[in-house]
Amino acid sequence: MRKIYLTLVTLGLVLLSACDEISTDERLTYVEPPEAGRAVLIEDYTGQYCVNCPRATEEIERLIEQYGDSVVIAVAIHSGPFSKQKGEPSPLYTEVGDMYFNRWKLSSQPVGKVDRLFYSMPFGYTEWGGGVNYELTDSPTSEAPVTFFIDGDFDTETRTGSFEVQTVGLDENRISGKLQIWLVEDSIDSFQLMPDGSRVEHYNHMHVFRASINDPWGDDVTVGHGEVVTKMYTFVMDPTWVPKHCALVTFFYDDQGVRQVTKTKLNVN
Amino acid sequence: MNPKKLIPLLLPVMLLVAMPSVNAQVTVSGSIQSDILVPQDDDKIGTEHSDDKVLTNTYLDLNLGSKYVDAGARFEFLKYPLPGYEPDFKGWGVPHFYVKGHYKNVELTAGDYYEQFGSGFVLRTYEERSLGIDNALRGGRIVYKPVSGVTLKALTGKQRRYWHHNDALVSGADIEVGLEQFIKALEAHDTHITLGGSWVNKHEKADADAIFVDATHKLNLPKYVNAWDARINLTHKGFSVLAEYAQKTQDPSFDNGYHYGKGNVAMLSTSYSQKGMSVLLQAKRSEGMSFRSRRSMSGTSSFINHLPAFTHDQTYALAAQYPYATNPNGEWAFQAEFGYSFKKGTTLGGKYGTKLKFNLSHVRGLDYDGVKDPVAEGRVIGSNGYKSSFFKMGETYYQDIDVQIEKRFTRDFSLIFMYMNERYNMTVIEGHGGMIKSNILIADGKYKFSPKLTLRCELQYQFCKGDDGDWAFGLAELSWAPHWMFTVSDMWNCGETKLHFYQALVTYSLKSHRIQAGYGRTDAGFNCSGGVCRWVPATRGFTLSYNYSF
Repeated sequence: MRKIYLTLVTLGLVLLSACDEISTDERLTYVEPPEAGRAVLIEDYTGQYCVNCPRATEEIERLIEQYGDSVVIAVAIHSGPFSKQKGEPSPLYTEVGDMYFNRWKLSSQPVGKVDRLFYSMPFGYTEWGGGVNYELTDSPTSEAPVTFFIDGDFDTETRTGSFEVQTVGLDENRISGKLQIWLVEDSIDSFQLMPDGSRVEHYNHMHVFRASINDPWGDDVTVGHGEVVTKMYTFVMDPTWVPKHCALVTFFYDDQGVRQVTKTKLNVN
Repeated sequence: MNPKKLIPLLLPVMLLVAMPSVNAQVTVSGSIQSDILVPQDDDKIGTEHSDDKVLTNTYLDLNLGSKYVDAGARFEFLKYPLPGYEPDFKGWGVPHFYVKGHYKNVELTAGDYYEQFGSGFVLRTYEERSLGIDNALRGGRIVYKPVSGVTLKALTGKQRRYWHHNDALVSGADIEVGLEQFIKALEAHDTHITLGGSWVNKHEKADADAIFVDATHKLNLPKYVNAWDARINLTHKGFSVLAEYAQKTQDPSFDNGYHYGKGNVAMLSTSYSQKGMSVLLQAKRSEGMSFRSRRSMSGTSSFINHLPAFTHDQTYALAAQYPYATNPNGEWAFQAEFGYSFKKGTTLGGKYGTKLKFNLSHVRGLDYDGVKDPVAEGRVIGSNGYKSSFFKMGETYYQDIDVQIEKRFTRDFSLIFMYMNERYNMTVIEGHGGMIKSNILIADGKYKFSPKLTLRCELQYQFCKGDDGDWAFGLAELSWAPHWMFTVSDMWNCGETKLHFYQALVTYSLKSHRIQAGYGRTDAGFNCSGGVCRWVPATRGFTLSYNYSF
């Protein structure tokens, strides 16, 4: 029996040494506010049939409020199983969005990617704040290697947009990656299932992914320090989309993830 | 294929070759399980398109045993898995291998192992292939029986998550003492009392996750999470009672909305059985007991513990349409089961006897002063969480009342009749849909044409308010002993969708080989847990499964 007592005493000591009670006033750690030398892209893979997705939307609103809408740029990509019911896609679903969803091997929703960090690793929405902070402070890519100048117009009669994207190299080294341009729309009135299980018929959907203006995986761009690469794009907008609510989300990404992103409202004529 | 992945499979063989002295007593056991689907697209039922022509979940287990040393390994081929599993499930290799030494009263395991302390409230690692769960620990375990009636266990390891292991180190210890070994009066009265105690510790880096409450403040997360469990089990002849309580320290996680409240679970379970009769009564209250080896994880993986479901495991298709497991964030659950066999020759027993089974399961949420789901409705991040009075209950999550009567009418014909009344809170469990109310009638008849030829037929109907409405189900199964079985079935939604989910199967068994080929459709469904849902898609196609154990 002595052996048993010895074992129990040892276990008790180990247990006590491993206690980790955190009192109320010790739960928050102050973090230096990041100096945003760049913006961060949150891809929110969401669905109108996803009851928990409005929680993720609230998290995005909170992050935008804290960091500003020029620092946190979110795109709600309606995709995945919660954008379909009995095989029928929801109104905001897109095939391209679904392709991204499958490409990143996502399954549950809501789920997102912050700057496409760690390649295929999905982020739960409670981790998005950490991801944004990491990108702005600790990340080796917290300095943007490029910046964008975007200029163009949208003709409401022909519903055609034409614009020019100038990618300017900021990095000391030549950098190669992909230039991606998405069209997003705010203030879309459509239904949404809510966390309490109810269905809101007139939910205000923000920053909804509508289409990729260029190739869904972007165009190749290589740029050196101080160099400018200019590309021209045109697109014709779907008649049901509202031009004044639309914007272009332009980003540059490489193997390390999204390196810079910007959101530009359409200049509607 | 990378042959390096197969090296662990050779472990048992290498080990036994290295010990020629024990080769004479070596026993070999194992199994092969392979489930194959050749998927077809079906827009009507909404199947997901697969680029792979053939999907399979295939497992090969190999175990070698000897007097002092056992060893084993499992090869898994899940590179093109069946639909409905989490994406990280995909892969192949030998993720499970172990060496176990046993000498006198000590057993030592190195490698991958499964373990359960008590009812599993603080630790349960297990494999459940149909759900894609294998949360084995990889590390070391010792089981020591210093004297008769006392069992001590200690373990440490990292938990498997599909093809990797989570970084957190899980350690624990368990003791069970059978008092009748020390108090002879108990043994003399055929009374057994077992006392048990467990402790589990998770060590996960505090900075492994950065959870921000605002732009300049992140959570200070606990590096250690401790959980303990105490239990007493008393049995006297046919009577048994088990009381168990477990508690967990602060464990902010995705599941609980990153609050710092403690978790607990209490259970009381009593049973009585004698010849021809059995009774089970049990109640359980749990709150905040989701315990994972990775705090930011959602979905079905990485659970260290397991909260047993207080619901009957239904096997009939329509009775199993709306299953309920357990809500890790908190619930009150009650279950009553009663079984009785009316003897042959009595009024109700008739010539061949009659069996009666009754089950009641009732599960409710906890009461948070009118707040339905504190995680969903308010930001609990960084707080002490939500408080609920112990005996106050919230809304009904699930209820199942079913009665089953099994009666043989003649030497060749027997019938099982079942009635089930079910309430399924789809909003809580799946996130939408309200309370689904069902009444289900099932008749399962078996007729033996000859000693070798038996026909079994099922007819089921579900009167359902909510979701897709009523369902009907029919099945015919012809068994031609000892090798063949032919099955056809159809599950028909006669409510909203009018869809048929038909299936035809042929099964051939020879000794311990079993092969089944079929064609059919299966219905889709949502599987939600901890605020995040997983979709199990509909399928259509040819199926082939092979099982062999040796």
